Amino acid sequence: MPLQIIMTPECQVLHVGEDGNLHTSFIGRGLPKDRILCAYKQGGKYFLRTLGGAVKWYDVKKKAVSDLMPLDGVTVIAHAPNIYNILIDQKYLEVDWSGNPDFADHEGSQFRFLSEGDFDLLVRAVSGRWVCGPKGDVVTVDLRRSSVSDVLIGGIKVSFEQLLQALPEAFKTGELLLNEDWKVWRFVRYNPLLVIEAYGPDAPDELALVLDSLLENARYQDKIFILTDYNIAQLEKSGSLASFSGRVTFLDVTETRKRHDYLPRARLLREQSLLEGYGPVLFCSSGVVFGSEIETLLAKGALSRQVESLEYFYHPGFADKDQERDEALSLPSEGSGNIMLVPGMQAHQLYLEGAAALFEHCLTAYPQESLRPDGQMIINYALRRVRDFSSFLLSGRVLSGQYAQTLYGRDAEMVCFPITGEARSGQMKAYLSTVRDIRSGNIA
Amino acid sequence: MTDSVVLSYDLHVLCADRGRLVTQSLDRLDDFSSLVFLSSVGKGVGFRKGATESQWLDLGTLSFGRSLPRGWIELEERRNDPGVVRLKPCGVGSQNAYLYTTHSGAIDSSERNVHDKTRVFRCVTLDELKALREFVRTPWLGENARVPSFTEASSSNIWDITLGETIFAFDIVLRAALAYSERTDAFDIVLYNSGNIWRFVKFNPALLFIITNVEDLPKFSCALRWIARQGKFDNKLIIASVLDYESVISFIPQEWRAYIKFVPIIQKDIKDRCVPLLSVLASIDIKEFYPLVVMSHDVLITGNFRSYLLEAALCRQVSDESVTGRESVSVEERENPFIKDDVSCEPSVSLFPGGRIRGAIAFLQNKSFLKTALFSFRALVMKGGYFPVEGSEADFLAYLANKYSLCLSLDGKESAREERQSFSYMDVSGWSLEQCNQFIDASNSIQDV
Repeated sequence: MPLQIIMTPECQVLHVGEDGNLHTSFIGRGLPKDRILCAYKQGGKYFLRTLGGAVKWYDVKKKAVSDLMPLDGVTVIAHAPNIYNILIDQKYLEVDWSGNPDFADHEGSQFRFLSEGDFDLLVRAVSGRWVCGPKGDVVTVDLRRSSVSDVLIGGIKVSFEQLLQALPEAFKTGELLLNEDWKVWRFVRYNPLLVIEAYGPDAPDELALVLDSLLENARYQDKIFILTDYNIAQLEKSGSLASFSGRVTFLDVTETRKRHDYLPRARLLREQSLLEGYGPVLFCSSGVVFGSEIETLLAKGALSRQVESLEYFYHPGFADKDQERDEALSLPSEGSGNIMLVPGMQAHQLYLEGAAALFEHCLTAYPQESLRPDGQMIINYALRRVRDFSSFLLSGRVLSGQYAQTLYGRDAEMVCFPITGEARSGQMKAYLSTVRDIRSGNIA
Repeated sequence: MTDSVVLSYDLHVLCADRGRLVTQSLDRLDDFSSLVFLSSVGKGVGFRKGATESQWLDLGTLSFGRSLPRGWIELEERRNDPGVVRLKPCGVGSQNAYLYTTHSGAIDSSERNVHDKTRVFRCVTLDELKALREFVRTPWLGENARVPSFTEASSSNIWDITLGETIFAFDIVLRAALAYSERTDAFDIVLYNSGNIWRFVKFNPALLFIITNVEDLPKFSCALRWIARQGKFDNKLIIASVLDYESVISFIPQEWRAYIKFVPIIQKDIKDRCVPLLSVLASIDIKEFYPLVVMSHDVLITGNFRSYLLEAALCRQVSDESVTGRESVSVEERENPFIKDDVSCEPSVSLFPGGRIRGAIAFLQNKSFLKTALFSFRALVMKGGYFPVEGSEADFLAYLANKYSLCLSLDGKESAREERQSFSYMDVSGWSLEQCNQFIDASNSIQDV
């Protein structure tokens, strides 16, 4: 039997404090492994020792930490799978009202034994956020209101055993499937990322506007990657970045951008080590203004089974029909902001890699004039071919700002301004100012 | 160096046969006991027979039988051809020889230092080989295809693999095959070449009939006769029944018997009676057949069933008619008690009108879905819940699809409906056996005319 970490009835772990006494703490708070106590079985007896680092033993008789394995161990009495009473020196270990370990003559508290692997998975599950389907509520694993037999995730009570069995698959696929009594529940991991492409001399102005809108209107609090060919040192001095301190990562794409604006994104999709573990991931150009709260959209996007984008499909050599090709060329796609919402990188990696490879091929195989500035159209074409495309979430929520004047006064979730266009920062500013006025009541 | 297996230029794998080093085609590799592995030896590598045996290849005679390796092999990588190597025996005999694949598939050595594809090999891990073998053996269905594609052995090699008529780079196929083998509930792969991108799904469809009454057998026979009208039947037929095999088999046309997989059901508890489909799915390998289509003994398929099978395999999500087909008589919408009682459900389509499960259940071919479904059932039985009501299993599957976001969004559903107009069926549960037979005979006569 491997080392078993001991979890108390309040779902805290048993550990030794700096004073050498037994304590309990909630997991996910950076409790070092060399403090966590676990049960170690030898010769039919259990002994208490620390989990990591230089091994320390807890001598249950002396009630102190020692370097040597003590003579006396503890006895465990099974109640249910992995749930035990712990008997130390003829007394039951219990956790008192204040959460402190104590000893009693009568039957004490019930403890859950967790293997190190299960413990690590649980820590990951507790420290992350999940989206609960199908409505899209963002929830967490709430150990404070859980017990050794049931765990609460966003108010849903699921069996601890089932959670532990489902977690390995969940971290592989990003999808956690559980039961609450007869009801079934689907949770997906929620670790959002926004990838913004800011190119050209207007990059600082546009970035300042898009970041302002993210903060004020979208109330976005998570990570941002910025792909740019601008001087990163100068961008980092921008005042708008202060509110996102530590959450913004700049990626210098000067070399790849020389061939096509969209190439850096395609490269990012093919070399996914940077995006690993993120989901949902919203890609957009810096010509996008966020008009309202975005978490609902991102949460719904995380639950989607397909990549979400806008309905612009185009392949310079393989348009499905001639008519489609003509239609694609006449679409006002330059106002689409290159928007793409990927539910989770893990589940869609293969499709996105293939789509990005196709884009790169088109870049070399077809003349530049046959490729629209909006490379997303080719990605959409590829994703639709492999049935990994949907426009359900974004259509209606994203408005093209090509005719920005008509949008003033409309509080859309996202407004996209032309991908190429020198004056777009001016239009973005005007739109953002209008939204502010609407919010403050200056415009009815 | 981690032990690896070796592919010859023509996508065969190196094996031991009667002590000799030979190549074997991947699709005919039934088990891995004959495989030879490259293991580290001295300054290079050596061929070892089997995963655990310690018979080494004698590089002088190119035969197995040595308990200790004699000589070693140097792997010479080829410039501008990553992953491709030449195998140069060292320490024994000639120092200028290279291994090559003969026309008969044996491995020999030659001193001719020529640029020749028969002299190159590719090393892969055992997991990669297993994934490649599965890829080669699987019938793959691409978009718009009428028939599945197979790996073309004659035009595939360690640089390019031909699937149907399309050529893909070996590395792309290997990566996709490996990803496919690692995903426990996936049935598709994505391949791309310089021209375009393709999605292929495993196409090994099976019709699943669940027969619980001996009285159902004559009509079941009619349903099979009717399917036979559609042309040559080359799919698997899974018959799950409480009846014994001999009772059922006599109702199945002789020419179909080779395609049958019989699953005995022992209705020993409430689960087997109340959720027969989930119960059967839990007892078979649901990854073997794709798509699985549930049929009942009292329906006659009136549309293009082949076309339905193709679309059912390619479909990534479900909509009402994509699952059930269209019944000739409209069925009254019933309220789904599960969706009603779980307030978290979104407004949803009704997957199985009338509470009868018919059609493709590809969306359910996922072990995790199945596991949670059975868990729910146990919880319901404990509290005397819904399942004893007829049709509850159908309602529960619709509920599952709702909660797991498996249903197409409204716009997707509309387009799916357009694509699948060709499949529908007739419910003949109210017909007598004579009526069924007369109808089939009459239809056959019309067809003959």
